[in-house]
Amino acid sequence: MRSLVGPDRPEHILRPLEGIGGTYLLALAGFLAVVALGAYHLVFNQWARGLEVTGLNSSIYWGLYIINFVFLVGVSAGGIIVAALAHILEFKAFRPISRMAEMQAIVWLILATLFIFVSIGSPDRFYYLLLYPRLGSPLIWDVIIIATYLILAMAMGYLGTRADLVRCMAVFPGRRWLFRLLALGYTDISPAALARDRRLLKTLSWVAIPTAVLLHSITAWILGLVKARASWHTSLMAPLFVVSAVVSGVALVAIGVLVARAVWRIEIREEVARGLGTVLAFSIPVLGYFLFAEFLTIAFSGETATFEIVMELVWGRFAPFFWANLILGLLLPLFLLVMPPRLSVGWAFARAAAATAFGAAMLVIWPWAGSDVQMLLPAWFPEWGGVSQPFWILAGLVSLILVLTVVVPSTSVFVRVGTAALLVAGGVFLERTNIVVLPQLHRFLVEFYGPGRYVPTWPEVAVTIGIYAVGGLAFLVLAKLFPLVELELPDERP
Amino acid sequence: MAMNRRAFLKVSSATGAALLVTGRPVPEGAQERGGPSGAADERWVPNVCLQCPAACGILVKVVDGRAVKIEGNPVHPINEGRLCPKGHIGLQLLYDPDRIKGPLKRVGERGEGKWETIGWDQAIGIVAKRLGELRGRGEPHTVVFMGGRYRGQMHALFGRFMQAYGTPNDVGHSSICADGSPIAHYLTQGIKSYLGYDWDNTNYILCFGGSFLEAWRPTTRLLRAYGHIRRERPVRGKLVHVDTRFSVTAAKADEWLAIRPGTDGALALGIAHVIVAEELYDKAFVAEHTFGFDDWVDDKTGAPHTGFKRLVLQDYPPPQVAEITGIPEATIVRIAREFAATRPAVAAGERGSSMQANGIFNRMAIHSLNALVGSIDAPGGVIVQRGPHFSDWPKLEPDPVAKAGLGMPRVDHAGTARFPLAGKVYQHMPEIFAGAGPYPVKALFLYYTNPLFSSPDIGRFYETIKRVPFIVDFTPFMSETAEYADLILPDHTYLERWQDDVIYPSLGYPVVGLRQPVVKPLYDTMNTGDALIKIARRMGGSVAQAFPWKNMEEVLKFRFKRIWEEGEGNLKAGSFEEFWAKLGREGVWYKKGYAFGEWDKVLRTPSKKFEFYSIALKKKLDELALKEVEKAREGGKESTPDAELEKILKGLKLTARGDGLYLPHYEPIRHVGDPKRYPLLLNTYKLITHAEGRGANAPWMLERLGVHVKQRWESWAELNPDTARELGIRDGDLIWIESSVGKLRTNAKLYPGARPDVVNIPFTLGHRAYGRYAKGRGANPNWILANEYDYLGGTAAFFSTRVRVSRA
Amino acid sequence: MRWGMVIDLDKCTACQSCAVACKTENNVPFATPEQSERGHTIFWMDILTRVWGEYPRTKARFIPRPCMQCDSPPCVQVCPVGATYRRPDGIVAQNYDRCIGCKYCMVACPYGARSFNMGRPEEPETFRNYANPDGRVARRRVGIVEKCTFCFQRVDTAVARARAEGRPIKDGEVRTACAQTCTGGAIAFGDLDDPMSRVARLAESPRAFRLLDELGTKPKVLYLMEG
Repeated sequence: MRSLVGPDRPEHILRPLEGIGGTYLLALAGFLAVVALGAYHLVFNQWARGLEVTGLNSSIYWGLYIINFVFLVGVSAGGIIVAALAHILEFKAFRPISRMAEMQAIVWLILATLFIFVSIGSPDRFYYLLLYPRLGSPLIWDVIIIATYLILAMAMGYLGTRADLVRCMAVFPGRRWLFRLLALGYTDISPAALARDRRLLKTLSWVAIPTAVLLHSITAWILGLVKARASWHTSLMAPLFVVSAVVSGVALVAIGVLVARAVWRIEIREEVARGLGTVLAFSIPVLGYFLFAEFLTIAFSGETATFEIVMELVWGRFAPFFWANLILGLLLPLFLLVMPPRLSVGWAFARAAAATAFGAAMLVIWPWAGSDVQMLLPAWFPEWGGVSQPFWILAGLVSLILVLTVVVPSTSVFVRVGTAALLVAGGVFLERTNIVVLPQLHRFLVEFYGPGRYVPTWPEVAVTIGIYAVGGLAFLVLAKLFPLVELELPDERP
Repeated sequence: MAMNRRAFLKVSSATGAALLVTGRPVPEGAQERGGPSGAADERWVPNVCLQCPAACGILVKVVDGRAVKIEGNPVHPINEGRLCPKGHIGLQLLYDPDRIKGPLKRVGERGEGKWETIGWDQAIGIVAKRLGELRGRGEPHTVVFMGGRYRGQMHALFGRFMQAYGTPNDVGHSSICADGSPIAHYLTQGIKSYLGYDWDNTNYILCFGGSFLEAWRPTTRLLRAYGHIRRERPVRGKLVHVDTRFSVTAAKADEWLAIRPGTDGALALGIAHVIVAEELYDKAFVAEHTFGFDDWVDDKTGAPHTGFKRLVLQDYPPPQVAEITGIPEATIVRIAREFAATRPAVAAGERGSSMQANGIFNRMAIHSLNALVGSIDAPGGVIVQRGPHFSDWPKLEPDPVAKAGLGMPRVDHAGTARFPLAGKVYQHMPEIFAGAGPYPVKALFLYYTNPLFSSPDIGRFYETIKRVPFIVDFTPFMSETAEYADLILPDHTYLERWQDDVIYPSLGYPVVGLRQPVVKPLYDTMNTGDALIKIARRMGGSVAQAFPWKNMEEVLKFRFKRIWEEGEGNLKAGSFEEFWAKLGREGVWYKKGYAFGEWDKVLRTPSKKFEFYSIALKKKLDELALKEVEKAREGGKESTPDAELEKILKGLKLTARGDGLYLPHYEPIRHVGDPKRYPLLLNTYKLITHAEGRGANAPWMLERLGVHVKQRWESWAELNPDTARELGIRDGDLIWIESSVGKLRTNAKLYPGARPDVVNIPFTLGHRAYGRYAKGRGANPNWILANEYDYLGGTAAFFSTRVRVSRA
Repeated sequence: MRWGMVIDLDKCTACQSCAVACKTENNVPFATPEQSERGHTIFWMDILTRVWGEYPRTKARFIPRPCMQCDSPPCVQVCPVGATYRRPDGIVAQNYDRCIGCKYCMVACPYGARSFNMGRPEEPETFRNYANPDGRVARRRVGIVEKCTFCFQRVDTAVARARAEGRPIKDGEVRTACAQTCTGGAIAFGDLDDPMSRVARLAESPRAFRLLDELGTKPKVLYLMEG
């Protein structure tokens, strides 16, 4: 079987498909264990006792699960956009990673639906969504678009992978039946058939882009059409979500690709990483711009409920998330992506010194700013203006300095893009958290209800990790079923 | 959808009924299959609420023998179908999982909680034997009855028992309740009870320290009046609330006067000053129906006396009153003019002003405002409650042993030079248990009272109650005091027993409600009335003869006979049986209509007038002084009445002398604790959800405990945010509150309605017993309250304790 | 017919009787101290409280808050399975057998009028005796949303009775549990479509306002301003 890897077949691509090693089994077992942990808490804790085991309460009804749902729908949409762009624009750099992007899109979306499943109070009635759909509800729109999108993504994946599966039938005769099954028995790889595949793929890609936009717009509208929450009810919600989706989706694709490169030593060229970096570098400012536009509007209108949410973000309990999102999630990655990689040691040192000075200045200013704001806050918000912000700011600045001094001077584009992608993905996750959670804690009539509290509980976190482990399992299995990169690379074609 | 629903509803009744019969846990998620219960046995049974002594009429829905809903009885004049939040929790009291399920005999140490369940026959036998022994030794007076919420015939029944048995020691709880008001009424109107107020027709309410909307009585009546005077008549009445704390009442009042604690009397006199100085008072009423307004000369001695007019004009000019009370001068003048000009106006006051170290004179001063504006026995003013005409009790002939016992002095020093105007001094009992009384206490009976929870400086009770050799408690709940009893004869809850309930003074005209078993008693408990009769009968002799009835129901029928015979009021019947049946259906008898101008019933003072100058007080103090002179003479010393009076007044810690003493005046407020060491003042108050500690095991109340501070299930101490900041205390911090008596720990609640120099703790939680929800929850401020008195009336001064606060 | 409620804040005494009466009428479980601490309380009728200002210029407002029974209910708009719906008589009802517990309606309700059955109520066996046996208010299961229904069981019974007797329902003939017990007489309940009804007349008051009226939810619970 080993010998069947021919000289014209890129070995690095097929290597992951071969046999099952100890490390693989260990990883599999690890993920399974985490899934089991999550499943245990889901079944014997959450389902047995009700959502009382979560941190949800009478002031917040959507928490960690919905944050992850929104986040995953976003990265899924982002993933397919990358793949579709590759197909439509015949953007060569992305051809090798388009399959991984599609796989990710599918897996992330399935995880997203899992999060919805675990978030509802009566999962035994989950099928009521199909049995008694009420078409007026944005949630039903989401059900429809997710189903459509899933089918579309699978179709695209199938069309892009079929030829390789047929080739694999030849390479791995022992698993011929499997690849035949995955190819749905359609084994014609004549140029005409391949051309038809490609044509179809291109057409689907044209459909995929608006579908992806719609997918995440609808997810945005689940929140954005709700007038009951200050700051949700803005027409910018959908565009903001789409851009966030692109940013986080591309970032996750980049991370996935780099992980595959590291784990299976698949040869990914620098230009791929650089290409992903470029997309990120262009979309981050758009996201920043949207956020800025939103905040400026709120600040100028001074509309009570929304303004208080912004105050809570900027100064209050959510300040750590907000500033981390802004500085570590947007500014720093952008900086990483656009700065020339090679800089003298002196420059790096100067930058670090500047950052340190800035941090020190912030620390000095902070207590003053904090206490001023605290004095402005009405007496019935005593928990506002917590003491932990200086700590958070300090932690943020330390990591900022570390990144600036260690990562930035690194010559490797993989390290820089990978770091930027991680930061961006983390930043978008925090952004989602702020968007989902804060307007619930800071509801209308907050002057009566008082601001709410939300701290996810361990069972909630365990279920969340468990669902992500399901994703890890899925990727492990997929890596054994499909070549991660197209065997017939575009530049190999005559 | 709706179609579906209706279709489902039709099938439903059967399901509903089935659920009832089986009595299974509440079925889940059966909405669409459910429906009206359609149960065979569904009744509404009238009863009378006992969450407070207001005696609101209730209707209890009983389905298949289970009480499932309590609503107001629409025909009961007190509440007219409405019900305060406490009214609803009767269900959780009836079905309280921690009720005492049968007579208990202590087998362990006192307070240890080890009991043996015994039969009623044995229990009654033990009590009768013990009481018989004491009588045999000629010591019936050493038996003390401490009682609280006697309702309807219960007090008379207990009184009759004490009479027949031979003890003068009927120690009710009113000295730790609100005796300040009745005593002030006694001094001015000659009536030692609460008064009614014609709330519905008044245009101006000036309320001193009585939480009109939370804790004052009768609660639902007051709450109804609040809605009525504001929006149910052409003229909107004004409510001005005088309180140190921003209570719910203060919040809902038209105006709140944030007064310095204990200075209510001064404010009232300042207002009186303006009314008198500007001649805004009702001259006709003052001339005709008051005594001691103008200066006067004693007919017998020819001595000149100072009148109220001169006193207030001289001593209480607004600038001076503003200094004492902290209420701006302009406000005092404005309120006085409003009060005098907006007739009818009424001045009222309760615990916050009356249960102070200077409470009785505070209340006298407040009440005198009513006389100034002619609001005594006038529409929209103060009225005097009339009672129903019950049949007279049969003549009681105490035997010689009983007579001797009744001739003994009271054990609690009430009415002596120590507490001259007191009828009873409940919180003084620990000293008596410890041996400070004229004779030892050899048996203690407790009915509906819990001194180990509700008296100031409770520690004293814990230390001394063990010295009483025999304690019997009639409580249906395992209260703190019950835990120290030797024998518990558990009563039914009010939803299981026969009892009547005469309303708390309020409406003026007579109203009496009927309590009847709504459900069969759940456990092996017994109506205390029945138990008392059984004990008496078991004892035999003259005690048994005093109780010719088999049980409480017979007592009630006997007492109600005359009401039927007179044939007045809402229930008219040809036969008594018919009357009784009607009473059972309606739940209440009343005779509406208040007769104004029956001055002999309204003004029962020696002068038959409203006495600004209290002749009764003068007489009482003079009598006591003479007695002391005699005592001194017996001891071989010479003394004069004046010297003895001076000694008595010093003992009473009164500062006024001469005529001023007998007139409404402001006695400077006294506090316990060094102001330097204890810079803050402790204020305890009651919540509407409180049910006086008796609701402490009712989750419905606990989860809605403090609406103004959004607190549930836990105690708290309200601190002014500025004070808290100075002490470095943040909202929710655990804090210590320490007085000279002790300290307690609770959560700080930063509350902008707290006076900067006062800590407010609700008297609500902090039980050491009383059931699973009550026990060990929250803090009871009574543990750190100093046992200070208004010695004149033997009343507890609840607001005199200084404290300091620190982070725990 | 359009059932509505007018709450006169000037007559409201903040006594909370409405909230307790509602619990007993509708089998709403109480929250234990631990559940309360974690915010797992259920109040169909709640009292919203706000205290502000500085001593002695302290101010407070207390607002009884049932479900607003919006004519344009945002909860109904978002429910994915139609578990919450507006009945022809205007009551926004909740079908407990349909609800999947997604909590979207709670997120969409600007008034906080909806509650979630977070966990099993913890109550002693003896307390089960006082459960309202009316199947229409049977205790809701864990994992679904519940809310104030304007005591539809009382309304439906009264309407059915009137219909059986062949007459229109009289103003004041049916009252919700909260309106019935209201000590200050602050809560009025009736048909807003009947111009002669008490609620319709009170709704005309210059003191009348609706909570968060600007959101366009068209609440059928109106308030009358204090003072």
